[in-house]
Amino acid sequence: MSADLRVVIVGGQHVGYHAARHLSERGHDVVIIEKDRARVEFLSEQYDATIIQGDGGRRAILRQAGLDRSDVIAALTGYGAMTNIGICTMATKIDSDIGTVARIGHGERDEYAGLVDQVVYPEMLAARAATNEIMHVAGRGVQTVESVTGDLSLLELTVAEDAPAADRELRDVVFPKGAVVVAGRDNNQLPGPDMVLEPGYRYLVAVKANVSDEVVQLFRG
Amino acid sequence: MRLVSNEKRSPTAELGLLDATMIGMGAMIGAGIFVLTGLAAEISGPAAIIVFALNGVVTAFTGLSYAELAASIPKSGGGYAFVREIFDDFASFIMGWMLWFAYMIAGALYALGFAPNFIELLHVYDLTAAPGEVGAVIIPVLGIGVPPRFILAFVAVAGLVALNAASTAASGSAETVFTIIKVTILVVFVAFGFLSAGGGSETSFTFQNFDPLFTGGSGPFSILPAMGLTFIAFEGYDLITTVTEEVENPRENIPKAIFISLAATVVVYLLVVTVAIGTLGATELAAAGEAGIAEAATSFMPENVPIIQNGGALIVFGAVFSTITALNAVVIASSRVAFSMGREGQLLPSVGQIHHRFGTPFVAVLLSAVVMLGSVALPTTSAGNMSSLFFLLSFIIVNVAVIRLRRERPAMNRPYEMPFYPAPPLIGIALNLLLTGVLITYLLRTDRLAILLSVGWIALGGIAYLGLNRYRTPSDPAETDADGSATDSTMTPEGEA
Repeated sequence: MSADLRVVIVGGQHVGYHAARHLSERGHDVVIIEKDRARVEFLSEQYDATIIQGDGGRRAILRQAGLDRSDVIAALTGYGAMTNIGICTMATKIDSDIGTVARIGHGERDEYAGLVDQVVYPEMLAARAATNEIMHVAGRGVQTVESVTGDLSLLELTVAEDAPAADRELRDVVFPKGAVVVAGRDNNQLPGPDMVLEPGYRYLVAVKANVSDEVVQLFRG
Repeated sequence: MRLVSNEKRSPTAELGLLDATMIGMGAMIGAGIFVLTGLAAEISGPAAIIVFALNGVVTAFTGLSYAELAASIPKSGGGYAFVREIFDDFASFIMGWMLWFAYMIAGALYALGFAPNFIELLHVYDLTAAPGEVGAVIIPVLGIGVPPRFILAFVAVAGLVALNAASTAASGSAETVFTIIKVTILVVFVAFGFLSAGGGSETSFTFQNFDPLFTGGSGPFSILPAMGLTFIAFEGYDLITTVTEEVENPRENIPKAIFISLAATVVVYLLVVTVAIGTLGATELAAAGEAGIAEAATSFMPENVPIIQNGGALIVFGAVFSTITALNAVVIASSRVAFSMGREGQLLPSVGQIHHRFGTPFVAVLLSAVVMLGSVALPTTSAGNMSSLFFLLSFIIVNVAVIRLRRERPAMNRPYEMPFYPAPPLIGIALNLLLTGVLITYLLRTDRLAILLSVGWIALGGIAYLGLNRYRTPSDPAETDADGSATDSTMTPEGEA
């Protein structure tokens, strides 16, 4: 109905706070529920969200966040998956229309299907980012930007000097079925048949798992 | 999927305490004091001074409410955003609808205050005749005479609307400079006014002009309707809450800025009104109407000043400058209310969109312009009456919002808590209600047009709300998700087919 979202975030520690900040920068309204007094002081100084001080696991506190007017609740506390899923469940009892996101600390996303709309596993995301940075620093030229589905990932590949695809136009490179160059990252180009894959430049490529080795070989040699 | 709004807020816009204070003062000192002093003097005589003092007190209670809300809810929507947070759909719609109207009518009032002062400025330099003696301008095609003040007001509104539709508003620092200029001019006015004391001429400052304080036989109660009529003079500090997210250290600076700007404005008003009555006398001030302060100034300011010739011209320039900057402030304020309502789905979604090329809330500005341009045809007093009435009403709702939030969300973090709660919002509600009552009774006797238009606007709001709900409902049951009707029809027309 409205252009701006209203989002309730439970837990104002690092994950909750940064999520609130990103949402607020995009113009959305954010309410943070946080238990710790000192943290409430800090959050309030940032002025990104309305702050409710209290235990987000309590119905009386959750009600004060105005769930009926909110689009999504994200339980992002560090107290474990079950706490966060419990908060989301209680929220849907108060307002059945609300979307739910729960932070988890173990397991696979499939295990939580049906309990909440989405889960987020910050430690896993951080580990993936760390892996990418390690690969980047080591100069391997392959990074996983996002695992779109279990089968499809978005890779960022740097063209090596002596790679098979180096210095060639896109139309002349024979890609396996299941791989698409999405964008040139360093030259800010959308791919056309005459785009040249320049050595040293980075490209975003959507790749199916079964052909990823072949694609990496094209770019890296 | 919902549309993601990707436009980032400008992170650089950091307004300090001074800038925030100046936004409030700039919006308050502008029109009210120049346009309405004469009117207050007409009703209450020399007691006009008490009218302004008491209005400052009354509005301070609502100021406390605004401070508490703005410090705890980081939204730049002003009064509408706070009410939207705690009231149901219809109540918040009506609040937005009334506040929108209040700003638009205030715009018309400022434009109408600008016109005679502008003519007076031209008159000081002998470019035109005195304001009262300028004949009608004949429009060639229609062959009818139109008063020049109407044309001037119309042009002023149209010009500022075009400016604000085509480019994003000037930053807060420009506002600070403007406000300092305005206040300086008024300080010069006050200083020369007091200096004229004992000069022996007819318009030298004397306290004899305040004796008797109450005139016209109606006694002290005459100040109540005058308070209602001039309430608009203290509208403006609420504009600080429309830019909260650009203020540095907001939870401390916003309450401070609200209180400082209010206090400073009360002091400036009292000095200016004291000088105006002390020099010109209440009767002549009343006769001068919208150009009262300017007339007072020309009577005692030194003549033969280099470049500007007549010292009074400086004050007249101050009046012209103040009304035009205040007009600009409410053009922005009114379009922001409409824009927020559009984004919240309480007006047509196109009102809540940023123009793809100009980067402004284009439709919101134009929509506000239509009402403002229409309203400059009103008599100045009717415009003043209506804007005062609607600000009184919306301030009542803001006070109620504070109480409801305290009751329903006790755990909400309040970086600024007003002292002596619940007394201030309750007193604020009571006093605003009293003034509303007095104003309505007074208008029923003297200004039926204002009452009629006010009721008409609220009725129109009711119709608009019903129409909008009908417009919103069709896609709701289908659970195409809540973005449904609003964005789809305008953004992806082919997708719906």
